[in-house]
Amino acid sequence: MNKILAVFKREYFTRVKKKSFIIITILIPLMILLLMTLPVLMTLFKSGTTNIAILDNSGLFTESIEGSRSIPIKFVQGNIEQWKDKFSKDFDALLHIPNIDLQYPGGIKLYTEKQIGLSQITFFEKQIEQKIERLRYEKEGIDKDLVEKLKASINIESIVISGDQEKTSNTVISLILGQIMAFFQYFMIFFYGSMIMKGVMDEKKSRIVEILVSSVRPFQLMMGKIVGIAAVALTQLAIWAVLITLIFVFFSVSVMPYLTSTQATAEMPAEMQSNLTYQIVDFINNPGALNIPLIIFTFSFYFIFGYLFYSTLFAAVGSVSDDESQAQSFTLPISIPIILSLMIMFNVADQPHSPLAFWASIIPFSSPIVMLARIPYNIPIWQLFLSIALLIFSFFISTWVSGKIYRSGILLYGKKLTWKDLGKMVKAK
Amino acid sequence: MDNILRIEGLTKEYENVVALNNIYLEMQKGTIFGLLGPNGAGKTSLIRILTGITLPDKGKFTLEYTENKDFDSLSRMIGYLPEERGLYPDMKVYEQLDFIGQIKGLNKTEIKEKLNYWGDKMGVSQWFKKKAQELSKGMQQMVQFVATVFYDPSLIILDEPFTGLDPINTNKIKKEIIELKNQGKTIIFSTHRMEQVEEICVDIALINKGNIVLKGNLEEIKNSFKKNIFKVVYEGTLSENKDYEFDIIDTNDSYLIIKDKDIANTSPNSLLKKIMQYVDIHSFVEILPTLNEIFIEQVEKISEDLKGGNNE
Repeated sequence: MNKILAVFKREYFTRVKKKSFIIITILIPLMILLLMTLPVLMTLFKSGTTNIAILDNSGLFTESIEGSRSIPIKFVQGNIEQWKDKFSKDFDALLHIPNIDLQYPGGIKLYTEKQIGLSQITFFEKQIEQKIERLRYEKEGIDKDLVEKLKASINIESIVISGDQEKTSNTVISLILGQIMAFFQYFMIFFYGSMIMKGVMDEKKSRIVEILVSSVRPFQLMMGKIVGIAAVALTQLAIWAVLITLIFVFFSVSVMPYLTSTQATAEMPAEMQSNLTYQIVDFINNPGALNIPLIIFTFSFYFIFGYLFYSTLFAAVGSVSDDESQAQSFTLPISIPIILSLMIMFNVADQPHSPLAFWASIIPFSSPIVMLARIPYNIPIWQLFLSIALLIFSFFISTWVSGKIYRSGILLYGKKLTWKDLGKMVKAK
Repeated sequence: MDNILRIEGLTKEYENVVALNNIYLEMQKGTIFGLLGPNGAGKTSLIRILTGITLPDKGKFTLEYTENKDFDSLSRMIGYLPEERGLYPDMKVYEQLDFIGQIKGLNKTEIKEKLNYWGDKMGVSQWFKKKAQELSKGMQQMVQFVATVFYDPSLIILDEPFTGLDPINTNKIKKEIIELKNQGKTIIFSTHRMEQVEEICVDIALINKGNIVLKGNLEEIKNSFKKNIFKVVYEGTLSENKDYEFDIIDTNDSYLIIKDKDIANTSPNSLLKKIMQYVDIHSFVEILPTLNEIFIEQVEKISEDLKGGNNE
């Protein structure tokens, strides 16, 4: 046990102290922060305010166009030809509305010396459109406020009936949450699985392994490595969780107000906005609809055991490979189920109760990824138990098989091995 | 006798190839034992059983008078420098040695104390903070040697320890091996380079195709294989046609190689007397066979015996 601990510590500390680990761990939350704040940053860097002069020759918009903090406006009088030459002294841009025909409104122009943002153009377009619409309604003798009142916006609320309880199912949230978890799992299995494989190959390549196996049992070496690298993954996960939470808090406190004041939300398609906001609001009001503790438990379980199951296989492949090309041919049978799981997962997220979804979330090769996409949809609990039991069982089998291959594989140098050889290793006493 | 290691009937087969066939060996405390044989003879198979890396199909061995030692205490008592050896390239030298100390079961203070001692002794301390990949091959070999001996094992197994070493480092390690022997350590020196063994080993075993071809005290073996031939540096003339009391096996402008015809009653003195009658002698030296010659002769003899056996 002490020896596994020594191997574990070596694996953990050499990896956590590596520059690449520190960089990736910090860089990814920073990238998320950057992506989230980019729209705001862009408006901030864009010189702050854009002064706009409006020359309204139609006289229709004098009261209906408003400026904003970052786009102050001022109405000017006169002729467009005289203003064209001199607006740049006092203003950044000149919006000219000619005497327009309500039926065919055209010829509205924005004169500027610098390129102006698309959002600022839509800012005015929206206001002018609204005014023209209102004028048209008036012309036809229709009460605009009445029309607004008559407009319909509906949202079908889906309710899951299980036993006596009725639960609101947040389909959009379930879909997004499930896909994010499954995709993350996919990424982590590949990333850390290859890390194990490479670690085993490096020990073989650097020829330190023979010194090691005279002091540590191959099984202890393999398990120490697998658990050590799992701890690296969990450390990274924990740091990400903390940093991303901090970013969200920072974001909602200091950045969100800026974002809502600009036109970012207005540009989102209307249906998506209403549906998503509706569900988010609903989710915040009633989080019990999603079984959060169950989701956290399931994610943690599949994250750990999915990783453990695949990592033993990756360790076995590393032990029988002398070089990258050899490793590639042996990894193929492991990679294919992982990639297939991801493809199935997208389908399952859409149809969580199909037979494909059922089988893929039970079979241990795909369950660590596929089950995560299903779990927010309240699946029958016996399916979850079956899947968990099978994954744990398969982990023991894969550990046993891989341990056998690993034991012989790490001491073989320069021999091209076939699948038949691997079979012999497993059968050997 | 003080046999620290006693090997009794070890047998190991790999996929119908007999790697070791019923091996019996004894080693005394405080000696350097030469385990000799060509590549693929079974040396590494034997070492892997002794270090607990593999299990024998049959047979057993006793280390320090107890049988069936468990893996952990075996690994603590044995220092093993494998032929295929290396270090973690991206780990600092001290950290790797510390790690080896930990998996051998030493505590932190023991490790520190012993590493300081051996680090200074072998000139390795100056590289403690460097990564292995920054060291030259020779430096790495010194680190590996320290990794093999620093935790004070009683049996030290060195598999081709001098491969890739320059003459200076070879000497340094050779000196260290002899010093370890004088401190009472038992050293198994495994190699296919017979000439390296002749300098430092007392007892040897020659192994070929899984069988022990020859074992025992090196001097006794050499004497038992001697052919009673002598190299004579002389002045004078010997006629080629004349029939002397000795055969001239080889001749050269400056020396002769001779052998007594009366092989049953020969001795160096009697042969010297015989040749002194004809020429002036400057030097007279017995030629003992090299281990290489003995080995080749033995292997050939065995394969001839086998052929003979088949014909009958």
